[in-house]
Amino acid sequence: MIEILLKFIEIIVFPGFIFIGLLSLFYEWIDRKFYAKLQNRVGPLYAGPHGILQPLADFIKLLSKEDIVPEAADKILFTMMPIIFFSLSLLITLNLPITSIHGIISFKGDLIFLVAMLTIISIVVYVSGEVSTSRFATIGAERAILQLLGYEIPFMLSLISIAISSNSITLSEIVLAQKNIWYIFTPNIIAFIIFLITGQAELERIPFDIPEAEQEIVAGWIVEYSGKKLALFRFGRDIETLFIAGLGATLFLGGPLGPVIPGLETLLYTIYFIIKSIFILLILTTIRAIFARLRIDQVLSISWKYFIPLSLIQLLIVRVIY
Amino acid sequence: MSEQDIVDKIKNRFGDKIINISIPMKRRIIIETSPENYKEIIKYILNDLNFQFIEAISGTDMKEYFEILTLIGYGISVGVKCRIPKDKAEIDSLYDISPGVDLYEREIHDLLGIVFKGNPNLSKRVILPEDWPDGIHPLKKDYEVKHPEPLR
Amino acid sequence: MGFIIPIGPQHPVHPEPLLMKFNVEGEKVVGVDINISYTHRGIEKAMEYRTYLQGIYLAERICGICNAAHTTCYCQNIEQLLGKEPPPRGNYLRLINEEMGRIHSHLLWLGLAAHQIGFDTFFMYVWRDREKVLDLIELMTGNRVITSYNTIGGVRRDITPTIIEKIRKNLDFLEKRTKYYKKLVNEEPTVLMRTQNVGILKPSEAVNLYAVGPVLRASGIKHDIRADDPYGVHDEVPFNVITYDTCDVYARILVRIDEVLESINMIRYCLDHLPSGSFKLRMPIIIRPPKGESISRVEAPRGELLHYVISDGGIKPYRYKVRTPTLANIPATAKMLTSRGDYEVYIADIPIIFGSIDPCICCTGRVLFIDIEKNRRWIWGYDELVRYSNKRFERHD
Repeated sequence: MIEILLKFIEIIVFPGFIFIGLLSLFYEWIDRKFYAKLQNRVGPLYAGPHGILQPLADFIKLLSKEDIVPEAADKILFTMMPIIFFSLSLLITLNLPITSIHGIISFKGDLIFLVAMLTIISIVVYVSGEVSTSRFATIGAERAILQLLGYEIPFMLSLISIAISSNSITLSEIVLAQKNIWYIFTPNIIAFIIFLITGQAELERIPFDIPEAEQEIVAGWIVEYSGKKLALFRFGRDIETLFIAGLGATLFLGGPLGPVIPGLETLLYTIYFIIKSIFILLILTTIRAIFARLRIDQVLSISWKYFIPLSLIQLLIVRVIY
Repeated sequence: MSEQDIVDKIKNRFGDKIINISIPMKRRIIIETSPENYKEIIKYILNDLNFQFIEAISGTDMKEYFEILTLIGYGISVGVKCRIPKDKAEIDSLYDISPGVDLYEREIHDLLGIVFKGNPNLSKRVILPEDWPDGIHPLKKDYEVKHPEPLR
Repeated sequence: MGFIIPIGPQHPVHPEPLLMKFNVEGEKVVGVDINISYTHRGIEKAMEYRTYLQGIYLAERICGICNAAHTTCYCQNIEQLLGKEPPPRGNYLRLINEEMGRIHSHLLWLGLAAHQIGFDTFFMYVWRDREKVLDLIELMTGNRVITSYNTIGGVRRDITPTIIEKIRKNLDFLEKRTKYYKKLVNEEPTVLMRTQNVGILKPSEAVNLYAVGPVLRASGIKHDIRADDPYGVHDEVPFNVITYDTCDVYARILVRIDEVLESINMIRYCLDHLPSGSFKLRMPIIIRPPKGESISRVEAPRGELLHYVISDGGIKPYRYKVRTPTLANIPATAKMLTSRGDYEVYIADIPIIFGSIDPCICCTGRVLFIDIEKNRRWIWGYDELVRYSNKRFERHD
């Protein structure tokens, strides 16, 4: 009985939904503040000390705005899409090993499960754009799928090279295989670079934010959503950012591993995880600040001409060594 | 070529078709002609004298007639004027020899009501809104701006 | 198949309203239809109801950013009618003001172009440096953007040695930063990918469609009013006409950056050779030029600007015509935005191509129906138009 209650608290509060939600808002603040500093600006400043409550304030503001549904849109799908997007992002983040080597959900083969869920998220993006029946949304959705054709394969290949190195497709075993040395210091470094770049494409940030390009098609596939639905989309996007940063930390930086004092394991594991994922997040933000936006045909040509051959070379190296 | 050379060339070529030609200032030449010879002279200046650049077309309501001035040239600016009678306000369009004058002619048509024969886009409004009533041309001198009572 | 995408009239990236309807197939643009009538303010008609001195302030507000060029053109026009010339010191100060306006306009455009390709960091850096130019303009003229510096017969204020020192110091800083931006545009791979071979306008097309300004010079045609038809003291101040011949957006960016460097050198030359004496002529309070007409042309930052005035001997002009550079560039833009042959235009290129002509739509259409008190925009019927325009004229008359 107590166990069920503890598990329940674990899923809802720590390190479950509420903790992930607050952490992802914190990561959005770090992202915005660091991006602003790189651009010689100040960033969020007034909501809370140093603007730390700004993402929460934005979320609450969006919840209170008017919710307009286009007349020609399919009402059921239009309402369901943000909820599905948000729930899927939350679901995959529950797999990350935050407080221990196992995540809250952990089973054999969960790496494949995560990749499949990421692909389903991209399909949700496409359906959200198409069901909005606006010209700009249609173009944004079409671009999202085109971009998926570009980055999906290098992304999976880099994950496969990690799986080969650790001889398993379960996240907890991958973490354990890094007990002696983290994968970033091994010949898996190419996979790390490809993971960072394709992770940026997955999250639709500059230089790959062409599905949501503000200047050309006024927010792309997200254009018709407003009010609570937009709040859920943005929150889901934040949680996805946390997921990619956490996945990078798990696969390449040893997850929550680090020197521990027995008894304080949960706290220390969480702290190490947060520090490592913030490191990955800062790299992603720097990439966002120093490039211009690429056109869709350029994204595809770069992916197929450079990333896929690089990831295949990486696979060969890993196969030879391990 | 100096301005006097250009004036001599045009005078030799067109002779009596020109009503008046003058050099008011450095690098400015003004030619006055009639509507029938307007297009021919402009074509000559554009192509044979190699001026290549129509800068602007301006229309004015001179109370008894309309006057159109076309300015040509990069360095030296040659202006070709012609008077158009108000009761028959039409003139040949330059669209077929130079498609870049499209917007200028449509603007004059919207604001003054002169018809440019041969310009296929003349019916599309370029400056006035779509629901502006036909027949009222704001730049004419009889379009009075009245002084009504204040709104508040 | 025609899938029409409207861009405008209200759009996050274009600061002024215009409507462009694009025919697209997938991501490729095959046709465009531009409608510029959203900002017609009736300025040419308004000029006929104002005295010559009041007309300066109306000419200034045709465009906020090229206002130095508009006032220079207007004052030159009226001076030509009267047959007078400003004194040498006035002419030099006018040139300094005009070139500073050019630096300001080009730096502002560079930031906007960077924003349109999604490179926000570059945008923020350039606009931070633009503040230095605005500080200089404020020192010299008292205002940041709309300077009100020119008047008929010269300029309105003099310049002191302390101001000259500050201008020199800030110009050195600006030169260093502009050279850095030139290096960045030449070396940054994503910028090169987005701007090379995009928005091509061949030289023959540029000449036939009567393009002006940097758009023309980026296609290799060497034409600049300051060199071909010099006005003011431009025949005494040495400078180079910048051309590049790759005919694409990349060339236009480089033309404008180089023009900033040229302007900095011109201002330095003027400060070194500033003649002493008075800076404006004594003019009567009511200016009554003799009957006649006059044409004046000036190189605004966006291209070649033309003003034409007809005077009938009274205190108000009989006819005033303004032809702004963006209006002349519109047919060339429509050509740049259609795919033909091997050259393909994607939707993603639309903002940067349209932005590369440096559009100033408020110069272009000259009837914007704005209710200033309530800040709304809509299309009015005839009666409301007459009442509104009369209300404006009544306040000024």
